[in-house]
Amino acid sequence: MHERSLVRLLLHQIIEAALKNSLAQGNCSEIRVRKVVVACGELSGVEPELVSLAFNEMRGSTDHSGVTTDQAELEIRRQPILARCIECGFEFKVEDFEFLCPTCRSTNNQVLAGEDFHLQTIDIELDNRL
Amino acid sequence: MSQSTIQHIEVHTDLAEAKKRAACEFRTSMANQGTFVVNLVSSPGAGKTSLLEATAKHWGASHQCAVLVGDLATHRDADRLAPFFPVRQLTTGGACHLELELVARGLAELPQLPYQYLFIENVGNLVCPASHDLGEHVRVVLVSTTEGDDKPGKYPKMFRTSQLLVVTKTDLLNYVPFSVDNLVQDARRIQGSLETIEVCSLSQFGISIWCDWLTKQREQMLQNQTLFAERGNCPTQLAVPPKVTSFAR
Repeated sequence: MHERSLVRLLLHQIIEAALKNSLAQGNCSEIRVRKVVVACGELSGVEPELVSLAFNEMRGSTDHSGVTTDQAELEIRRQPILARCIECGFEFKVEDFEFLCPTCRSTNNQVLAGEDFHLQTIDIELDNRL
Repeated sequence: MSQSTIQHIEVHTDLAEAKKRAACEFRTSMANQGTFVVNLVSSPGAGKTSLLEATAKHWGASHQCAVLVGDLATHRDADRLAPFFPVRQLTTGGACHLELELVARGLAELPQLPYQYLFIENVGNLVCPASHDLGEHVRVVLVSTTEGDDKPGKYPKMFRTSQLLVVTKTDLLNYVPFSVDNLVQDARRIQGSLETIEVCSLSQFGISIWCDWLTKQREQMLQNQTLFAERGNCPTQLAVPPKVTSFAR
């Protein structure tokens, strides 16, 4: 995958979410993003370590509109692949990319989670004018 | 004076949502025009261009097809295919995969006919193209007998996201340590419903089976567009308008 372009998109999404929230609050002079939590699916094609390296290098690069990300800490939660067996309905965690139902041994299944890269939460520090 | 407060915001955004939506819209739009979109993926040199040449020889002028072909540089593949199809070469510069924007741009440069089939020959690479939905109706992964039968387990996402495995260069099976059974077994651990076709494009072996498979898949698309619109993990359900089959199959 292309972790740097993913991180660029991530930073834009973080700023957008922070701004949206601050607009709802009103009277904010500065917003500092403190923590970012993402979920990285095992089948997303994204390498968490490379995302982490790129984030530390690129944070702060897209700051504008009073939102700063230069001190943001990134937490990456690995999302295992979860699948549902089409034959027996059993839901199971896929280990080592072996898409085999542990109950009925069928390989006919549907992925429920683990294919995506999600921005889950952000913690922001707001300076409110009094 | 100012006061500082910390807020915790639940965002829960899929970073690829906009791209997924665009791919689903493209897929639906192509289906509505009766155009079946095939994304051909493989490692470099597995025989994607040769398979398309063989397909053209088998079908002759009976099918309306177009090709978009991706490479980092040169027009070599487009030049090979130009005698058979309307074709546009998509040169990616340094990029190791095609993206939908490039495909849409290439399609706009082709003669504006209703095509029955649009073949997208992706950049030779078993890694990155697996993560990029080009709005195709089927993803077809090629493995040649010269590159080893151990590839599916090493590149699981590519095989998980493909609907058909084409084994190419079967004329070399007697000369290389390659077992089609081992390859298929390895691939089906990852994608249980993966279909398989063996071909030798140079001798046209298996090409009629491949072409029949394409015809059948396109007919299924024309009969049930919803099935194909949902392929590619759409972020939301798309309303699929009634199918349009305005020209002869």
